[in-house]
Amino acid sequence: MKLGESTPRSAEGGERGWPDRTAVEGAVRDFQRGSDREKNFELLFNRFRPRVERFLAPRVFSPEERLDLTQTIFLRIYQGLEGYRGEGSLEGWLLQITFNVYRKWRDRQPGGQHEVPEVAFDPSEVPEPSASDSPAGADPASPLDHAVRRERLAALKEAVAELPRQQRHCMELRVYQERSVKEIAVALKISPETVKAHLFQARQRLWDKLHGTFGAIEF
Amino acid sequence: MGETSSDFREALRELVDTTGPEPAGHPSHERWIAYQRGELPAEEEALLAEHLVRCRDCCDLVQAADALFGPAEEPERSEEGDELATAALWRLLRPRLSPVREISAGRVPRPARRFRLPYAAAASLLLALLGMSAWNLELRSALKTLRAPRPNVPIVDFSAGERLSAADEKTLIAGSGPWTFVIHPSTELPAYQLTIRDAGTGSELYSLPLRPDHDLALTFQLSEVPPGRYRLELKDGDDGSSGRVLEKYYLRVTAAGRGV
Repeated sequence: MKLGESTPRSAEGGERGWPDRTAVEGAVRDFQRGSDREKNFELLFNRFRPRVERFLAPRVFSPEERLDLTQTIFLRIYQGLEGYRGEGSLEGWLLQITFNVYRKWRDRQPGGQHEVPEVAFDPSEVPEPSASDSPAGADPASPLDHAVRRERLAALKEAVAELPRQQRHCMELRVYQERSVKEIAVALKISPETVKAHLFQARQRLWDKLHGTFGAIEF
Repeated sequence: MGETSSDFREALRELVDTTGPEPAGHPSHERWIAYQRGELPAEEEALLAEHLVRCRDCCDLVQAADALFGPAEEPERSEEGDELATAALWRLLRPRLSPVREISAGRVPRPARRFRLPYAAAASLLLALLGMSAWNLELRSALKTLRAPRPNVPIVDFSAGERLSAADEKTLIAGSGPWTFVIHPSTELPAYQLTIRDAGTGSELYSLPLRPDHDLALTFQLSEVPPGRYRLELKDGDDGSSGRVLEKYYLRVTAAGRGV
Protein backbone atom coordinates (compact mmCIF):
# COMPACT_ATOMS: atom_id res chain seq x y z
CA MET A 1 0.00 0.00 0.00
CA LYS A 2 1.33 3.42 -0.88
CA LEU A 3 1.31 6.36 1.40
CA GLY A 4 -1.87 8.30 1.01
CA GLU A 5 -3.99 5.32 0.12
CA SER A 6 -6.59 4.54 2.65
CA THR A 7 -6.03 1.58 4.90
CA PRO A 8 -8.89 -0.90 4.70
CA ARG A 9 -11.29 -0.05 7.41
CA SER A 10 -12.79 -2.37 9.91
CA ALA A 11 -16.18 -3.90 9.58
CA GLU A 12 -17.59 -1.07 11.62
CA GLY A 13 -16.22 1.39 9.08
CA GLY A 14 -14.43 3.48 11.68
CA GLU A 15 -10.74 4.33 11.84
CA ARG A 16 -10.25 2.43 15.07
CA GLY A 17 -8.52 5.03 17.14
CA TRP A 18 -6.02 6.45 14.65
CA PRO A 19 -5.06 9.82 16.10
CA ASP A 20 -6.19 12.29 13.44
CA ARG A 21 -5.05 10.12 10.60
CA THR A 22 -5.59 12.47 7.67
CA ALA A 23 -3.61 15.25 9.34
CA VAL A 24 -0.78 12.85 10.19
CA GLU A 25 -0.55 11.49 6.66
CA GLY A 26 -0.60 15.01 5.26
CA ALA A 27 2.16 16.03 7.66
CA VAL A 28 4.26 13.04 6.60
CA ARG A 29 3.83 13.94 2.93
CA ASP A 30 4.76 17.57 3.57
CA PHE A 31 7.75 16.47 5.64
CA GLN A 32 8.98 14.30 2.79
CA ARG A 33 8.56 17.19 0.35
CA GLY A 34 10.80 19.23 2.64
CA SER A 35 8.24 21.86 3.49
CA ASP A 36 8.32 23.10 7.09
CA ARG A 37 9.65 19.85 8.42
CA GLU A 38 9.84 20.81 12.05
CA LYS A 39 6.20 21.87 12.16
CA ASN A 40 5.02 18.73 10.38
CA PHE A 41 7.08 16.49 12.59
CA GLU A 42 5.76 18.29 15.65
CA LEU A 43 2.24 17.42 14.53
CA LEU A 44 3.19 13.75 14.23
CA PHE A 45 4.90 13.93 17.61
CA ASN A 46 1.90 15.56 19.28
CA ARG A 47 -0.45 12.92 17.93
CA PHE A 48 1.65 9.88 18.75
CA ARG A 49 3.56 10.80 21.89
CA PRO A 50 0.60 9.99 24.19
CA ARG A 51 0.12 6.68 22.35
CA VAL A 52 3.76 5.75 22.78
CA GLU A 53 3.47 6.65 26.44
CA ARG A 54 0.39 4.45 26.66
CA PHE A 55 2.43 1.51 25.39
CA LEU A 56 5.52 2.15 27.49
CA ALA A 57 3.93 3.16 30.79
CA PRO A 58 2.88 -0.31 31.96
CA ARG A 59 6.16 -1.84 30.85
CA VAL A 60 8.87 0.68 31.63
CA PHE A 61 8.45 1.78 35.20
CA SER A 62 11.24 4.34 35.39
CA PRO A 63 10.04 7.74 34.10
CA GLU A 64 13.59 8.61 33.06
CA GLU A 65 13.90 5.45 31.00
CA ARG A 66 10.49 6.06 29.46
CA LEU A 67 11.62 9.55 28.52
CA ASP A 68 14.78 8.21 26.91
CA LEU A 69 12.90 5.53 25.02
CA THR A 70 10.29 7.99 23.79
CA GLN A 71 12.98 10.34 22.53
CA THR A 72 14.81 7.49 20.85
CA ILE A 73 11.62 6.35 19.14
CA PHE A 74 10.84 9.78 17.75
CA LEU A 75 14.43 10.44 16.74
CA ARG A 76 14.35 7.20 14.75
CA ILE A 77 11.09 8.24 13.17
CA TYR A 78 12.53 11.65 12.29
CA GLN A 79 15.65 10.12 10.79
CA GLY A 80 13.72 7.51 8.85
CA LEU A 81 10.82 9.61 7.68
CA GLU A 82 12.71 11.14 4.78
CA GLY A 83 13.57 7.74 3.40
CA TYR A 84 10.15 6.25 4.06
CA ARG A 85 8.61 5.66 0.66
CA GLY A 86 5.40 3.95 1.67
CA GLU A 87 6.57 0.42 0.93
CA GLY A 88 4.38 -0.71 3.81
CA SER A 89 1.65 1.06 5.69
CA LEU A 90 2.59 4.07 7.78
CA GLU A 91 1.12 2.32 10.80
CA GLY A 92 3.29 -0.74 10.24
CA TRP A 93 6.38 1.42 9.93
CA LEU A 94 5.64 3.38 13.10
CA LEU A 95 4.83 0.17 14.93
CA GLN A 96 8.07 -1.43 13.81
CA ILE A 97 10.20 1.46 15.06
CA THR A 98 8.35 1.71 18.38
CA PHE A 99 8.48 -1.99 19.03
CA ASN A 100 12.12 -2.43 18.01
CA VAL A 101 13.25 0.32 20.38
CA TYR A 102 11.20 -1.21 23.18
CA ARG A 103 12.39 -4.75 22.48
CA LYS A 104 16.02 -3.68 22.48
CA TRP A 105 15.50 -2.11 25.89
CA ARG A 106 13.49 -5.09 27.15
CA ASP A 107 16.13 -7.60 26.16
CA ARG A 108 18.77 -5.71 28.16
CA GLN A 109 16.75 -5.84 31.32
CA PRO A 110 17.37 -8.47 34.04
CA GLY A 111 15.89 -11.67 32.71
CA GLY A 112 15.91 -10.29 29.19
CA GLN A 113 17.36 -12.04 26.19
CA HIS A 114 20.59 -10.03 26.21
CA GLU A 115 21.02 -9.73 29.91
CA VAL A 116 24.67 -9.53 30.88
CA PRO A 117 25.38 -12.62 33.01
CA GLU A 118 26.78 -12.07 36.43
CA VAL A 119 30.25 -13.45 36.87
CA ALA A 120 31.27 -14.58 40.33
CA PHE A 121 34.14 -12.47 41.55
CA ASP A 122 35.09 -14.72 44.42
CA PRO A 123 36.03 -18.26 43.29
CA SER A 124 34.71 -19.55 46.58
CA GLU A 125 31.26 -18.30 45.55
CA VAL A 126 31.17 -20.45 42.47
CA PRO A 127 28.61 -23.15 43.21
CA GLU A 128 29.72 -26.68 43.33
CA PRO A 129 29.02 -28.58 40.15
CA SER A 130 25.77 -30.39 40.60
CA ALA A 131 25.07 -33.87 39.48
CA SER A 132 23.18 -32.55 36.50
CA ASP A 133 26.33 -30.80 35.29
CA SER A 134 28.31 -33.97 35.18
CA PRO A 135 28.30 -35.77 31.87
CA ALA A 136 27.77 -39.10 33.48
CA GLY A 137 24.76 -38.25 35.58
CA ALA A 138 22.70 -36.04 33.33
CA ASP A 139 19.51 -36.44 35.36
CA PRO A 140 19.43 -37.23 39.04
CA ALA A 141 15.79 -38.30 38.84
CA SER A 142 15.06 -41.93 39.06
CA PRO A 143 13.16 -43.84 36.36
CA LEU A 144 10.13 -43.71 38.66
CA ASP A 145 10.31 -39.92 38.79
CA HIS A 146 10.45 -39.88 35.01
CA ALA A 147 7.41 -42.04 34.77
CA VAL A 148 5.45 -39.85 37.20
CA ARG A 149 6.46 -36.76 35.32
CA ARG A 150 5.38 -38.18 32.01
CA GLU A 151 2.10 -39.23 33.53
CA ARG A 152 1.42 -35.78 34.94
CA LEU A 153 2.25 -34.11 31.64
CA ALA A 154 -0.10 -36.43 29.81
CA ALA A 155 -2.90 -35.65 32.27
CA LEU A 156 -2.26 -31.91 31.91
CA LYS A 157 -2.20 -32.16 28.13
CA GLU A 158 -5.50 -33.99 28.12
CA ALA A 159 -7.13 -31.52 30.53
CA VAL A 160 -5.88 -28.48 28.64
CA ALA A 161 -7.01 -29.93 25.33
CA GLU A 162 -10.52 -30.21 26.69
CA LEU A 163 -10.67 -26.50 27.53
CA PRO A 164 -12.53 -24.22 25.11
CA ARG A 165 -10.11 -22.35 22.88
CA GLN A 166 -10.53 -18.91 24.47
CA GLN A 167 -10.19 -20.35 27.98
CA ARG A 168 -7.05 -22.17 26.96
CA HIS A 169 -5.55 -19.08 25.37
CA CYS A 170 -6.34 -17.00 28.45
CA MET A 171 -4.85 -19.59 30.76
CA GLU A 172 -1.71 -20.08 28.63
CA LEU A 173 -1.08 -16.38 28.27
CA ARG A 174 -1.53 -15.98 32.00
CA VAL A 175 0.70 -18.88 33.03
CA TYR A 176 3.17 -19.24 30.16
CA GLN A 177 3.78 -15.56 29.44
CA GLU A 178 2.67 -14.22 32.82
CA ARG A 179 0.52 -11.59 31.15
CA SER A 180 -1.84 -9.34 33.05
CA VAL A 181 -5.58 -9.54 32.54
CA LYS A 182 -5.45 -6.32 30.57
CA GLU A 183 -2.69 -7.59 28.29
CA ILE A 184 -4.58 -10.80 27.67
CA ALA A 185 -7.67 -8.80 26.83
CA VAL A 186 -5.72 -6.78 24.28
CA ALA A 187 -4.04 -9.84 22.80
CA LEU A 188 -7.30 -11.75 22.38
CA LYS A 189 -9.44 -8.65 21.71
CA ILE A 190 -11.90 -9.39 24.46
CA SER A 191 -12.85 -7.42 27.53
CA PRO A 192 -10.92 -7.78 30.81
CA GLU A 193 -14.10 -9.07 32.44
CA THR A 194 -14.35 -11.82 29.87
CA VAL A 195 -10.71 -12.68 30.48
CA LYS A 196 -11.38 -12.97 34.22
CA ALA A 197 -14.38 -15.17 33.55
CA HIS A 198 -12.38 -17.41 31.21
CA LEU A 199 -9.58 -17.71 33.72
CA PHE A 200 -12.00 -18.57 36.51
CA GLN A 201 -13.72 -21.26 34.46
CA ALA A 202 -10.44 -22.69 33.22
CA ARG A 203 -9.15 -22.86 36.77
CA GLN A 204 -12.32 -24.69 37.88
CA ARG A 205 -12.12 -27.22 35.07
CA LEU A 206 -8.45 -27.90 35.56
CA TRP A 207 -8.89 -28.21 39.31
CA ASP A 208 -11.66 -30.74 38.77
CA LYS A 209 -9.41 -32.87 36.62
CA LEU A 210 -5.97 -32.25 38.02
CA HIS A 211 -6.17 -31.38 41.70
CA GLY A 212 -5.30 -34.94 42.53
CA THR A 213 -2.24 -34.71 40.33
CA PHE A 214 -0.99 -31.21 40.94
CA GLY A 215 -2.73 -30.15 44.11
CA ALA A 216 -3.00 -26.40 44.05
CA ILE A 217 -3.84 -24.89 40.69
CA GLU A 218 -3.52 -21.17 40.76
CA PHE A 219 -3.06 -18.60 38.06
CA MET B 1 2.74 -35.32 47.75
CA GLY B 2 3.28 -31.71 48.55
CA GLU B 3 2.52 -30.25 45.06
CA THR B 4 2.25 -26.52 44.71
CA SER B 5 0.84 -24.25 42.08
CA SER B 6 4.41 -23.77 40.84
CA ASP B 7 4.44 -27.44 39.81
CA PHE B 8 1.42 -26.81 37.69
CA ARG B 9 3.01 -23.74 36.16
CA GLU B 10 6.25 -25.56 35.39
CA ALA B 11 4.35 -28.44 33.85
CA LEU B 12 2.24 -26.13 31.73
CA ARG B 13 5.30 -24.24 30.49
CA GLU B 14 6.94 -27.51 29.58
CA LEU B 15 3.77 -28.61 27.83
CA VAL B 16 3.51 -25.43 25.79
CA ASP B 17 7.20 -25.58 24.94
CA THR B 18 7.07 -29.18 23.79
CA THR B 19 3.68 -29.49 22.20
CA GLY B 20 2.89 -26.09 20.84
CA PRO B 21 3.62 -25.11 17.24
CA GLU B 22 7.01 -23.60 16.67
CA PRO B 23 6.61 -19.80 16.64
CA ALA B 24 8.88 -19.44 13.66
CA GLY B 25 7.99 -17.16 10.79
CA HIS B 26 6.46 -14.25 12.64
CA PRO B 27 3.57 -12.52 10.89
CA SER B 28 4.32 -9.04 9.59
CA HIS B 29 3.54 -5.85 11.46
CA GLU B 30 0.74 -5.13 9.01
CA ARG B 31 -0.81 -8.52 9.75
CA TRP B 32 -0.78 -7.80 13.46
CA ILE B 33 -2.34 -4.40 12.89
CA ALA B 34 -5.03 -6.08 10.81
CA TYR B 35 -5.48 -8.67 13.56
CA GLN B 36 -5.79 -5.97 16.18
CA ARG B 37 -8.40 -4.21 14.03
CA GLY B 38 -10.35 -7.41 13.43
CA GLU B 39 -9.87 -7.29 9.68
CA LEU B 40 -8.77 -10.91 9.22
CA PRO B 41 -10.89 -13.99 8.48
CA ALA B 42 -11.76 -16.09 11.52
CA GLU B 43 -9.43 -18.95 10.55
CA GLU B 44 -6.43 -16.71 10.14
CA GLU B 45 -7.28 -14.90 13.34
CA ALA B 46 -7.36 -18.20 15.22
CA LEU B 47 -3.94 -19.11 13.83
CA LEU B 48 -2.49 -15.78 14.88
CA ALA B 49 -3.99 -16.17 18.36
CA GLU B 50 -2.28 -19.56 18.67
CA HIS B 51 0.97 -17.89 17.64
CA LEU B 52 0.46 -15.13 20.19
CA VAL B 53 0.23 -17.53 23.08
CA ARG B 54 3.66 -18.92 22.34
CA CYS B 55 5.45 -15.83 21.04
CA ARG B 56 6.30 -13.15 23.55
CA ASP B 57 7.56 -10.74 20.87
CA CYS B 58 4.39 -10.91 18.80
CA CYS B 59 2.28 -10.55 21.93
CA ASP B 60 4.21 -7.38 22.78
CA LEU B 61 3.75 -6.25 19.18
CA VAL B 62 -0.02 -6.56 19.46
CA GLN B 63 0.11 -4.62 22.72
CA ALA B 64 2.04 -1.88 20.92
CA ALA B 65 -0.35 -1.89 17.95
CA ASP B 66 -3.27 -1.51 20.31
CA ALA B 67 -1.61 1.32 22.20
CA LEU B 68 -0.61 3.19 19.04
CA PHE B 69 -3.60 2.62 16.81
CA GLY B 70 -6.29 1.15 18.99
CA PRO B 71 -9.32 3.00 20.28
CA ALA B 72 -8.61 5.70 22.81
CA GLU B 73 -9.12 4.48 26.31
CA GLU B 74 -10.46 6.40 29.28
CA PRO B 75 -12.19 9.07 27.22
CA GLU B 76 -13.28 10.83 30.34
CA ARG B 77 -9.69 11.45 31.36
CA SER B 78 -8.47 15.02 31.04
CA GLU B 79 -5.91 15.37 28.28
CA GLU B 80 -4.40 18.51 29.77
CA GLY B 81 -1.66 16.59 31.55
CA ASP B 82 -0.86 14.70 28.35
CA GLU B 83 -0.57 17.91 26.39
CA LEU B 84 1.76 19.42 28.97
CA ALA B 85 3.92 16.32 29.00
CA THR B 86 3.99 16.26 25.21
CA ALA B 87 4.97 19.92 25.02
CA ALA B 88 7.71 19.42 27.62
CA LEU B 89 9.12 16.43 25.80
CA TRP B 90 9.00 18.29 22.50
CA ARG B 91 11.18 21.00 24.00
CA LEU B 92 13.67 18.32 24.96
CA LEU B 93 13.51 16.53 21.65
CA ARG B 94 13.62 19.54 19.32
CA PRO B 95 17.30 20.42 19.82
CA ARG B 96 18.23 16.82 19.13
CA LEU B 97 16.67 16.82 15.69
CA SER B 98 19.16 17.20 12.90
CA PRO B 99 19.25 20.59 11.17
CA VAL B 100 16.13 21.02 9.16
CA ARG B 101 16.76 21.35 5.46
CA GLU B 102 14.02 23.55 4.11
CA ILE B 103 13.46 23.83 0.40
CA SER B 104 12.19 27.37 0.72
CA ALA B 105 14.64 28.70 3.28
CA GLY B 106 17.76 26.68 2.67
CA ARG B 107 21.06 27.88 1.28
CA VAL B 108 21.10 28.87 -2.36
CA PRO B 109 22.13 25.83 -4.39
CA ARG B 110 25.17 26.15 -6.62
CA PRO B 111 24.44 26.34 -10.34
CA ALA B 112 25.03 23.28 -12.41
CA ARG B 113 28.49 22.86 -13.89
CA ARG B 114 27.33 23.76 -17.43
CA PHE B 115 26.06 27.13 -16.17
CA ARG B 116 29.22 28.04 -14.29
CA LEU B 117 31.21 29.44 -17.30
CA PRO B 118 28.54 32.00 -18.35
CA TYR B 119 28.12 32.97 -14.71
CA ALA B 120 31.90 33.47 -14.36
CA ALA B 121 32.11 35.50 -17.59
CA ALA B 122 29.24 37.73 -16.52
CA ALA B 123 30.80 38.27 -13.11
CA SER B 124 34.17 39.16 -14.70
CA LEU B 125 32.53 41.63 -17.08
CA LEU B 126 30.67 43.25 -14.22
CA LEU B 127 33.88 43.58 -12.23
CA ALA B 128 35.68 45.11 -15.23
CA LEU B 129 32.86 47.61 -15.77
CA LEU B 130 32.94 48.59 -12.13
CA GLY B 131 36.72 49.04 -12.27
CA MET B 132 36.59 51.18 -15.39
CA SER B 133 33.81 53.30 -13.94
CA ALA B 134 35.85 53.93 -10.84
CA TRP B 135 38.92 54.84 -12.94
CA ASN B 136 36.85 57.19 -15.11
CA LEU B 137 35.45 58.89 -12.04
CA GLU B 138 38.94 59.33 -10.68
CA LEU B 139 40.14 60.93 -13.95
CA ARG B 140 37.13 63.24 -14.05
CA SER B 141 37.83 64.27 -10.51
CA ALA B 142 41.47 65.01 -11.34
CA LEU B 143 40.44 67.01 -14.42
CA LYS B 144 37.91 68.96 -12.43
CA THR B 145 40.57 69.78 -9.90
CA LEU B 146 42.86 71.03 -12.64
CA ARG B 147 40.12 73.13 -14.19
CA ALA B 148 38.93 74.54 -10.93
CA PRO B 149 39.65 78.21 -10.37
CA ARG B 150 42.69 78.81 -8.26
CA PRO B 151 43.31 81.85 -6.08
CA ASN B 152 46.02 84.38 -6.89
CA VAL B 153 46.53 83.05 -10.38
CA PRO B 154 48.10 85.70 -12.67
CA ILE B 155 45.61 86.97 -15.18
CA VAL B 156 46.68 88.03 -18.61
CA ASP B 157 43.98 90.22 -20.03
CA PHE B 158 43.74 90.93 -23.70
CA SER B 159 41.19 93.69 -23.98
CA ALA B 160 38.93 94.19 -26.91
CA GLY B 161 40.48 96.01 -29.75
CA GLU B 162 43.90 95.57 -28.23
CA ARG B 163 45.41 94.43 -31.40
CA LEU B 164 48.93 94.23 -30.21
CA SER B 165 51.78 94.47 -32.59
CA ALA B 166 54.83 92.33 -32.19
CA ALA B 167 56.40 95.12 -30.25
CA ASP B 168 53.52 95.32 -27.76
CA GLU B 169 53.53 91.75 -26.63
CA LYS B 170 52.67 90.59 -23.13
CA THR B 171 55.55 89.15 -21.19
CA LEU B 172 55.43 86.35 -18.68
CA ILE B 173 58.07 84.57 -16.67
CA ALA B 174 58.32 80.84 -17.20
CA GLY B 175 57.48 78.80 -14.10
CA SER B 176 55.21 81.45 -12.63
CA GLY B 177 52.08 79.84 -14.03
CA PRO B 178 49.48 78.74 -14.29
CA TRP B 179 48.10 81.77 -16.01
CA THR B 180 44.60 82.72 -16.82
CA PHE B 181 44.09 84.46 -20.10
CA VAL B 182 41.06 86.62 -20.69
CA ILE B 183 40.30 87.82 -24.17
CA HIS B 184 37.59 90.34 -24.97
CA PRO B 185 36.97 89.85 -28.68
CA SER B 186 35.74 92.81 -30.64
CA THR B 187 33.40 90.63 -32.67
CA GLU B 188 30.60 88.83 -30.85
CA LEU B 189 30.39 85.29 -32.08
CA PRO B 190 28.98 82.16 -30.51
CA ALA B 191 32.24 80.26 -30.82
CA TYR B 192 35.86 80.93 -31.48
CA GLN B 193 39.03 79.03 -32.13
CA LEU B 194 42.32 80.03 -30.51
CA THR B 195 45.57 78.87 -32.09
CA ILE B 196 48.93 79.35 -30.46
CA ARG B 197 51.82 79.51 -32.91
CA ASP B 198 55.51 80.00 -32.61
CA ALA B 199 55.97 83.65 -33.48
CA GLY B 200 59.22 83.01 -35.29
CA THR B 201 58.34 80.03 -37.45
CA GLY B 202 54.55 80.39 -37.54
CA SER B 203 54.07 76.72 -36.74
CA GLU B 204 50.97 75.79 -34.81
CA LEU B 205 51.69 74.58 -31.29
CA TYR B 206 48.31 74.33 -29.71
CA SER B 207 44.69 74.99 -30.58
CA LEU B 208 41.54 75.05 -28.51
CA PRO B 209 37.90 76.02 -29.00
CA LEU B 210 36.53 78.83 -26.89
CA ARG B 211 33.01 79.96 -26.11
CA PRO B 212 32.20 83.36 -24.65
CA ASP B 213 30.87 83.52 -21.08
CA HIS B 214 28.01 85.73 -19.96
CA ASP B 215 30.34 88.76 -20.09
CA LEU B 216 31.21 87.82 -23.69
CA ALA B 217 34.78 87.21 -22.56
CA LEU B 218 36.85 84.22 -23.56
CA THR B 219 38.73 82.62 -20.71
CA PHE B 220 41.29 79.83 -20.78
CA GLN B 221 44.17 78.69 -18.66
CA LEU B 222 47.64 77.49 -19.44
CA SER B 223 49.47 75.67 -16.74
CA GLU B 224 53.00 75.95 -18.08
CA VAL B 225 54.51 77.47 -21.15
CA PRO B 226 58.18 77.06 -22.06
CA PRO B 227 60.22 80.18 -22.74
CA GLY B 228 59.74 81.57 -26.21
CA ARG B 229 57.74 83.93 -28.29
CA TYR B 230 54.22 83.04 -29.29
CA ARG B 231 51.44 84.36 -31.43
CA LEU B 232 47.87 83.82 -30.37
CA GLU B 233 45.38 83.87 -33.24
CA LEU B 234 41.69 84.14 -32.50
CA LYS B 235 39.55 82.88 -35.37
CA ASP B 236 35.81 82.70 -35.89
CA GLY B 237 34.06 79.36 -35.52
CA ASP B 238 35.35 76.39 -33.63
CA ASP B 239 37.13 74.96 -36.65
CA GLY B 240 40.49 76.59 -36.96
CA SER B 241 41.25 75.22 -40.42
CA SER B 242 38.69 77.37 -42.20
CA GLY B 243 38.26 80.28 -39.79
CA ARG B 244 39.09 83.85 -40.41
CA VAL B 245 41.64 85.42 -38.10
CA LEU B 246 39.88 88.03 -36.00
CA GLU B 247 42.53 89.05 -33.53
CA LYS B 248 46.24 88.44 -32.99
CA TYR B 249 48.09 88.73 -29.69
CA TYR B 250 51.76 88.25 -28.92
CA LEU B 251 53.16 86.65 -25.85
CA ARG B 252 56.73 86.36 -24.70
CA VAL B 253 57.72 83.96 -22.05
CA THR B 254 61.12 84.50 -20.59
CA ALA B 255 63.15 82.16 -18.48
CA ALA B 256 63.10 82.81 -14.75
CA GLY B 257 65.79 85.19 -13.51
CA ARG B 258 66.23 86.92 -16.87
CA GLY B 259 65.13 90.41 -17.33
CA VAL B 260 62.42 91.42 -19.66
